[in-house]
Amino acid sequence: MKPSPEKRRRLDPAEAREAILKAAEDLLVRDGPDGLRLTEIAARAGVSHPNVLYHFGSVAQLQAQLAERVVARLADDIAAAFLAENGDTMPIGLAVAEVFRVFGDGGYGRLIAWLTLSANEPTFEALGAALEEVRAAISAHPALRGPANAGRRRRVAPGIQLVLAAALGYGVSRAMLDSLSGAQGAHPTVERLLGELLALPATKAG
Amino acid sequence: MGAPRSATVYRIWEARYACPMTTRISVRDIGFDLDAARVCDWNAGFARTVLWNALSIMFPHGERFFIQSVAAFRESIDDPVLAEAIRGFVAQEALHTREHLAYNAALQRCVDAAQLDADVAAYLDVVRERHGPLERLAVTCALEHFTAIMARAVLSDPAYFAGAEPSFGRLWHWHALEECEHKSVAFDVFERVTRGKGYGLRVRIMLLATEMFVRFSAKHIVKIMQSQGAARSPRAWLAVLGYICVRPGLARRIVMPYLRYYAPGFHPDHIDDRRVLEVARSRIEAVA
Repeated sequence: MKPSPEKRRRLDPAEAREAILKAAEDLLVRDGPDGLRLTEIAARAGVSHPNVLYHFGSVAQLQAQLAERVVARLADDIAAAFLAENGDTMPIGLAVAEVFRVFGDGGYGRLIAWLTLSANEPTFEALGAALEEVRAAISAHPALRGPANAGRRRRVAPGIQLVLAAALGYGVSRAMLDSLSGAQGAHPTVERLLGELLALPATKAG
Repeated sequence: MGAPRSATVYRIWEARYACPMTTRISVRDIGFDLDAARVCDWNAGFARTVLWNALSIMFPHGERFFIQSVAAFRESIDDPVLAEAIRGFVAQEALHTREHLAYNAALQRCVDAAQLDADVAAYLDVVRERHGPLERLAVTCALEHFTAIMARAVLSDPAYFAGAEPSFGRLWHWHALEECEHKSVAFDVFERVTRGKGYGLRVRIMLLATEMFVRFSAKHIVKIMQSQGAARSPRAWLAVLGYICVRPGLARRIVMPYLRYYAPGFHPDHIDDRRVLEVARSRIEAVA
C-alpha cells in the first residue's frame, strides 16, 4: 500500500504521539480491545508501523498508555466538576455517569481488563496523581468542610474505589449487569450507594 | 537574552535557564480544628493577627482562580512530569480553599468576611472577562510568586507565629509549605505555552497583579481595623504596620525576591527553598 503524500506529512514527535493515541482511541470505540492492532493503528494515524513502535515500544504499551491517559483525563474532568460547584450539592450523579460512560461505552473497562489478563499487566503509575487529585477535589467540596465532616471526608477514597470497581465490572460485562438492574441501568444504583456513603453522618463505632 | 525561535533552540534555552522540577508535591489532606473564639487575635495579639486574617479572605476565590487558569492549559502539556505536577497543584490548592473557607466562616466574628469574599469573587470575574487564558495564567504566575516568597519568609523565621494559637499556626505553616512546593507549576506551564517568549507579558501582568494584591490586602486590613474599632488609633496602626514592615517585617523581607521576578530568564526554582522545605515538611508531617 502506497501512502498518499498527504498522509505521510512529517509530524513532530508530539504530534505523532497524539495522532497515534487518537487513532487507537477511535479504534477502541469502534472495534473493542481486539481491534487495536499495529497495522490498523498506524494506517489510521497516517504513520508507519516502526513509527508506532518507536513512540510506544509495543502495542501493549500503547494500549496501557491510552488507558492511563483516558482515565487520567476523566479524573481531571471530575475534579474540575467538583471544584466548580460552590453550593452544598455535589455533582455525584454526573461524575458516576461519566465514569460508567467511559468504562462502558468508551470501551476502557474492557481494555483495562484485557491488559490486566494479558501477561504484561501495566502498573498505571501516572494514575496515582490523577486519583489523588479527584480525592482532594471531592474532599475540598464546601459540603464536606469543617471538623464535623471529617468522617464523611474519610469515605471519599473508599467511595472512589467503589465507583471504579463497579464501572470496571460494568465495562467488562454490561449485558449481565444490565439484566440484573433492569431498565434503569447499573449506574443509578452505584450513584445512590456513593451518595449514601458520603452523606451518612460519622459514626463513632466506625 | 534573545527569544528562542525553533524547538531545538528552545530546548537548549530551557536547559540553560530553567531548572528541572526537583520538588516533590505531596497532598496533605489535613482538616484543621480552628479555635474560632480566638480568630481575631490568635497570633499573640490583635496587631500580629490582622495581616493573616486579611490574606485569608483572599484565598478561597483566589486559589480557585489559580486552579482554573492552570487547568485551562492541561491539553497543551504533553510532558508527563509537568502533567503530574499540575494534578498535585490542583489537589493542594483545592484543599487550601476548603480550609480557608472554614477559617473565613469563623472570621465573620471580626469583620464582614462574607462581603469581602464576595468582592474578591466579583473582581476576579471581571479579570476573567477582560483577560484571555494566557493573561490569566500570567496573573496566576505573578500571584503564585507572591505566595511563594511570603511562604519562604514565614517558613524561615519562627518569629512570625511565635506564641500563636497552635491550630492557626499549623494551618499557616501547612499552607506555606505547600505554596513553596508547587511554586513553579504555573510558571512552568506558562514557559511551555509561550515557548519561553512570554517575558514581556509576564512582567506587564506582574505590575497589574502587584497593584491588585496590595490594594486588596490594604482594603482587608482597613476593614478589619474598622470593625474592631482600631482604625482611628495611631498606636494600633503602629503595631500593625510594625509587624508587617519592621519586625518580623514580611513586607521588608519579600522586596528583594519580589524584584527578581522582573529579571529576564527568572525561574521560581532559582530561589532555592530545599532546606527550608525539608525542615517544614518534617514539622508538618511529624504531627499529621
